[in-house]
Amino acid sequence: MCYYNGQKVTKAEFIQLMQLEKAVKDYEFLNRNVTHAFEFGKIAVLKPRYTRDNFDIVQMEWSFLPKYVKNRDQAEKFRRGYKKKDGTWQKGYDTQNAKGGELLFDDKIYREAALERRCLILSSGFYEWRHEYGVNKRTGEKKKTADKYPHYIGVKDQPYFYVAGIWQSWTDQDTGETVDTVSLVTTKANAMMAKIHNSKLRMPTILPDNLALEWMMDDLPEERITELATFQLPENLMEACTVHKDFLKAEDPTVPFIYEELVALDTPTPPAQASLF
Amino acid sequence: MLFQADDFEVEFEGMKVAIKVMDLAGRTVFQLTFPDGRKPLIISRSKVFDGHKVWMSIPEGRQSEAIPIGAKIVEHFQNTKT
Repeated sequence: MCYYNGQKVTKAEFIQLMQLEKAVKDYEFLNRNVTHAFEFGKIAVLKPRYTRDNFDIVQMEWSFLPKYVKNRDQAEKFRRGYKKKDGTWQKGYDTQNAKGGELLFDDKIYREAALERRCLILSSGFYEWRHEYGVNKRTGEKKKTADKYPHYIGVKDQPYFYVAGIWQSWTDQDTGETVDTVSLVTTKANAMMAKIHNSKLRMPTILPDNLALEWMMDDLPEERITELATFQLPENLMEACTVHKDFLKAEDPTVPFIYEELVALDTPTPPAQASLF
Repeated sequence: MLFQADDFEVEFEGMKVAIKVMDLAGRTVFQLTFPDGRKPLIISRSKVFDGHKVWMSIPEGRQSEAIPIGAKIVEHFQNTKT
């Protein structure tokens, strides 16, 4: 006899419960504080079932891998870049994010996935860095490199929200290992996000529940796919705060941190002065 | 939270707990998502030594939540049958 949760169970039942425990551990990813994009780790994704009548919460590798990448060695080079034989550096491909307006372009690796394999990335919040070019105290001139201030961004009153994603099943042809890989769809930044992510002026395509379900489950014409992929959540539904620059090491990385030198996000941006000439 | 055909909610301690039915390791389990920020919980119905079935928290340690919410789940299915 064995005990589980203080209950007397048969050995066979105990073994099954332990197997179940192992399977449940795979769901621990839902409790992770931060998933760093450049770790190419696994993130929580809602994936529709084949029947399209329901979905499962699964893990996928964050960074879409096209089928022509043959093995893990090539995948590493594809994602991170590598030194070519002539000594020059071949940059890696950023497939963690996919621009919503370009998904269906014929020359993009995302087209087939956007048409057939749309999913939702489950998020409780994300981080972006605001770039500010301060003044050099010694010379009085504008700094050449930006100071970067991390912000934690979420959706008001939503512990979880959904970001449009597209996925691709990828097989390592050396080992036979198959994993699902995913790219997060992005859109043009709204006014608040443009102040925060001021280096790229982009934001995740966050979809309200009704649009999220449509994105994942429905058979959509190309025009609608692009409409949803470029949907911009209004800034009044979002909230943001600055966090400590070492937030990745913090127990709770979402704790607000005030930078005295930083202009608050809700300070209106002065209108650009029209040219006098 | 996105809801699908077999997902539902139950009332527990004055809040609505979202329940998602899943198959894991060949068994039906229930994923509980709480609105008050506590960690999600997975529970399963398990046969104990004397033949009775008892709700178990997976992993161990949250039995005090598994049992009353499990009872609410049973109640939900009984009500939807009729």
